[in-house]
Amino acid sequence: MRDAVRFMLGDELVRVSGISASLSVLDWLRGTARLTGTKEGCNEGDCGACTIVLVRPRHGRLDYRAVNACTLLVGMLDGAQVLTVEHLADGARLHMVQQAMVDAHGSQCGFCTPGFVMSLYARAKQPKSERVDAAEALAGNLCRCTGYAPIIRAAAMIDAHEAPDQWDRRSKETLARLEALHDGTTLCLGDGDTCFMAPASEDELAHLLVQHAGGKDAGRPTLVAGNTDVGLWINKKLMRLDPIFWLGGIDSLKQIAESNDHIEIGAGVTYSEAQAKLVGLFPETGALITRIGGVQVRNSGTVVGNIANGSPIGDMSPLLLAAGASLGLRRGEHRRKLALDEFFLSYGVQDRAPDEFITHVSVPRLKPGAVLKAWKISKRADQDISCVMMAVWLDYDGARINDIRLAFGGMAGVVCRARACEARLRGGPWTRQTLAAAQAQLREELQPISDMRASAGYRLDVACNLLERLYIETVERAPTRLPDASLA
Amino acid sequence: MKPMKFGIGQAVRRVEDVRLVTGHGRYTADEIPEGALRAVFLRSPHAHAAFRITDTSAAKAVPGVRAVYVAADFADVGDLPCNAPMPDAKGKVMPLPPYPVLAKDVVRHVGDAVAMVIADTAENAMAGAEAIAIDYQEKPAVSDMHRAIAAGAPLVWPQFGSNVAVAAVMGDKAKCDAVFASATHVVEVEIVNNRLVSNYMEPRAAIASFDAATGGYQLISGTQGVHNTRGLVAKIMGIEPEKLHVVNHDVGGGFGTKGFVYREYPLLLKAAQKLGATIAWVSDRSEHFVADAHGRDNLTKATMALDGEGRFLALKVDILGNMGAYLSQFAPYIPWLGVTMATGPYDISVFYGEMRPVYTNTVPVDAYRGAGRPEAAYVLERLVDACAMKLGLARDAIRARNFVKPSQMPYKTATGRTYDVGEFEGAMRQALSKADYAGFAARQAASAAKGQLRGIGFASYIECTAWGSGEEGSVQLDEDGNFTVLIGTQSNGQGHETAYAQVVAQSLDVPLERVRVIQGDSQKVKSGNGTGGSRSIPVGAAMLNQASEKLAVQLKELASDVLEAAVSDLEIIEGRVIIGGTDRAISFAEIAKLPKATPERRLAVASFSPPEATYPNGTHVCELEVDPETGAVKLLRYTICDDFGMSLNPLLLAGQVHGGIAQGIGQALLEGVTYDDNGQLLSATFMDYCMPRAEDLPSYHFETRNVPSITNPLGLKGAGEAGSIGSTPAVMNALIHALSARGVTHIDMPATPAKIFAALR
Repeated sequence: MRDAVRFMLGDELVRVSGISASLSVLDWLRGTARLTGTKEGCNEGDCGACTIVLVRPRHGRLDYRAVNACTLLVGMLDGAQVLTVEHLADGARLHMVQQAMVDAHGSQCGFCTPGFVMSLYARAKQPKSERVDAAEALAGNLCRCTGYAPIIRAAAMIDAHEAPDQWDRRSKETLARLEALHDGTTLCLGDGDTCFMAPASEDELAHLLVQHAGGKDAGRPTLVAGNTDVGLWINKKLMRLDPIFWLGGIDSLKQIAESNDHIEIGAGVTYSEAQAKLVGLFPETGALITRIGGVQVRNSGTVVGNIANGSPIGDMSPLLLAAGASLGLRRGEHRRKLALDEFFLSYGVQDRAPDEFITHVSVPRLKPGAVLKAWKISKRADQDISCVMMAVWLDYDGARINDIRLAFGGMAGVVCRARACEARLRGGPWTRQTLAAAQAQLREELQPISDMRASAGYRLDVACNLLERLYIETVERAPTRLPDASLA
Repeated sequence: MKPMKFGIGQAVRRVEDVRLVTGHGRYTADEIPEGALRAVFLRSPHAHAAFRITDTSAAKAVPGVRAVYVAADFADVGDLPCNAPMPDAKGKVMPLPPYPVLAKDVVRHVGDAVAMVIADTAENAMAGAEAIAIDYQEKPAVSDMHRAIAAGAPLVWPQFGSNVAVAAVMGDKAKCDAVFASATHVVEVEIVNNRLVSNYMEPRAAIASFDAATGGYQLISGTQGVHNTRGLVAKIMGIEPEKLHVVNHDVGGGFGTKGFVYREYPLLLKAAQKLGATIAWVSDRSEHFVADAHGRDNLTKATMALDGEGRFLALKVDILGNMGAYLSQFAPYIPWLGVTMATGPYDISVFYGEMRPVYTNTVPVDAYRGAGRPEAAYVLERLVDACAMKLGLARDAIRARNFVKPSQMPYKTATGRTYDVGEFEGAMRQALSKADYAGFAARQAASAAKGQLRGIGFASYIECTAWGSGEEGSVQLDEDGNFTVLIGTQSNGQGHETAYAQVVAQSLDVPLERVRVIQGDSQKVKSGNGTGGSRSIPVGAAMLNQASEKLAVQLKELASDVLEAAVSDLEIIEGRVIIGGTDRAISFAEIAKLPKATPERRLAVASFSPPEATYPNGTHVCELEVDPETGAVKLLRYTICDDFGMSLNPLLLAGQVHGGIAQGIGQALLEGVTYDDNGQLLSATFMDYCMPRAEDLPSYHFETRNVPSITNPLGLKGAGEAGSIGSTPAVMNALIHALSARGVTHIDMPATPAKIFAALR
């Protein structure tokens, strides 16, 4: 076991030990490293003022990702290169990204600027073919001064004038240095009071969890993958978490395995990594999947983590529920498979023992004749919580519904299926009459709450309308299906 | 004015930016010295409660905790001031409720501060705050203004017998009523102006220290003017202003809200003195939602009397202004400022206005970008559209018919203001033409074919900026040949270092890097009135222009001896004084070294006090689409034609306008503070308070149609707030236009999909 986290800070190799398990990268950068360019705007991953770039080896090259430093724990930097806004200029010469921000008047008060610079930088590091549009790349960054248009213009300037920077020129060397840090040992970081464990393998994780559970006075272990949600427990609820087990050191959990009838997404796979595969599986949900959270959240957060925390308004769970997904769980040497439906027991409670972990989610491919559609209704397109989310898997032959799964988020204490409504639809003719009956059933079956996001009545109306949208898209306008820009 | 390479009118890049884009900006929280103690405030979770702190010993015993302070520890510290009490119709001034630096016995809103804990780290201070034993006895609370003014409502201040603080009036009611009685048409609207949170990206922070040797205090914070802060904080603390040194470094957005004196400042300074230590406090985002003043929150009834041709005969407004639980610095004056601009760009000779500030168990409300003028413009422009609809008149025609005409300038409004210049119809026509208003029908039909409701709407606004106090400052030639400006305004991100350097460059023809602008230090800069009301350019730049011209003459005088030429033969070109038409010249650096170039002769001081406000105006045009299936709104085009008198730096100017519009669009479609009926704040994070993001905002087309102001020598009009003033009515008028195809004639802000969806059914 290793007791120091090792990473590169800019060009410098850093070893950090003897720190609290829950120390955030933001606090470490600002407090210990005295790199104060990275700002705290909200400390909950919503504003992007703390955006930094993590560089990791991936398929033999360097992969640059914008992440929020506030919800990143120092231990999670293991084996990465950290680039902050201070690392971009080459001596007195501004980096092209910085120069574009100046030229476009993309900075006013300047407080959010470092975060925007780093988001634009990470975007510029993606191959041009994979580069998302600027508004999407910046969805995780808030600015209160500029109205964004100048920053969008800066992104266009960057696209028009790119050239290798000092980090590109050193990429071979950096790659070798980072690969050398990948030593296959388990990291155990702590200050004597709390402990951050990064097991190096799945077996090690299984073993350590069981061992910990058998220990005297053992606190409930917290499993962390991207820490985008658990980070809020630390920063906002001031929860003391000990021990923390981070899944990010386990290569086998970062795999996406594909077979003829399904794909398996490992527990360490981030949204960004899973995105293309999921869109490939369910092309009609593309607009939704590509806009979960902001870029920073998708780069840290994992598909499995979003399921595991059991949020009633998680965006991934309704989709996977409708898709008929199942989970692989492991406790010690014991493995089991669980239909996703059965995982969510009640609000805040899931079918997982404290020393058990999800290894992967298994997602069936669509069979011919079936579609998977999903719509999220929220006030804002990006980084917003759903008022209502509906996902539906529909197997139909144009006139008749062979089978259907309807899943909702935001309509109950857990993500749920509308089984009675499904039963109404299943086997029936797919007509306006059936639709009306199903809508009536939906109103009976679902009992959403009213809160500041939406009233119960609005939620029910929207749910029924989404069902109608399904009908319109699959029957009335079926030959020329609507494009999937269905974010509201 | 002669065009200078870096001078007035040039779209030069900002000199601030190099440090800001490289992460070298210095904000308060970046400047906390090693070893400083950290403060945390314990805040009320209840909207209204009697409380007793029963025990602080456990808190004091938390490792690292150095002190736990409650209200009784600051008996010698005064209350937070409200400097704008309003009189009623008889001239009787409203009574002011106490606003103690720490709540004593009763808390009146969620977030009201009850104790301060000082520890070696913020974590330990938080642990200390959690360990304070406190008994709350909840009392009935009221958050909604309608409920607050109803009979039997819980009283925020029982001693006043009512939650209505005062009824301030303007105009002659009887005369107004008479006009209404004989008018052909009467049109009325009732408008909600939703409560907003400033949400500057830099949360407030402060570093307080005390020097026992000199008895001097220092406060480092992000404010909107060090001198105002110094004066008010010193007064609260009962010390001489000279004993307090206030410093601002970079300020990460202000929008008016950072301009007020807040309780944390005197408390931190007092604690620094008691402990003989430097103490830092950094607000977190959720604390910002409950500890910093909110904005807007008015309910207004507005009524217009019209003749048969659609001429405006008289206007009545009746405003309820939510003050929150305490009176913040300018609170009751903000809606009143709106009253003074109630007639907008229109020639309305008869006016009656009533404004009632209302107490509720909510966070205090004060100025936020625009401060009263956005509220007024929103009400008026909604009303004007309602008039057009009722009378069946075109929206541009009814405005054109009623605008104050250029020939009427200077124009005295029925609310007592004097507009110096303005060509309101010119700006409106130009904006509508740029927005292709005429071609809208075809675009609307194309949208309809896709099942979308398309609307176009606009708003013609006028606002007032840069009224009241003046500014004194200086520019000096330094010994190294560079220039230093001292000025008491405070950039919060507007780019003053650049704008002021341009003013100096106009007279002295030097690159901007050679002009150092010093602001935000109450010792280095002798006096100042800070930034607010869009005054920094129309007052500050006008003053600095005088100083620079004066210095140019002084430098020519110094040069004339050496060059043996008359001052009238000398010119300033590219950092040198030169004899016109020759190559004989002396550089500024050389002048600075002349024996005669005493500090006095290298320094020019000027002061400028505006005789009257400036009146920026213009028209915003918004075009949007509504998806009737979901209520989602998509902004398609946004066009602005503004009159800012003169454009000092078109780049910075556009930045101010864009940013203001972003806040206006946010207010119109997304943002809103939500309290439940018990005064519990439901929207205290970025997850729950919907801030606009990149995808939510359109790109804008902005142009100016300037008519120079005659109230300052440069013809400037303030531009910092205009964007937030024209935008909410433009967006909402466009939205109602879109929805009117389905019979909807009214919707309130924020027009969320849920609200629109409901309105369509």
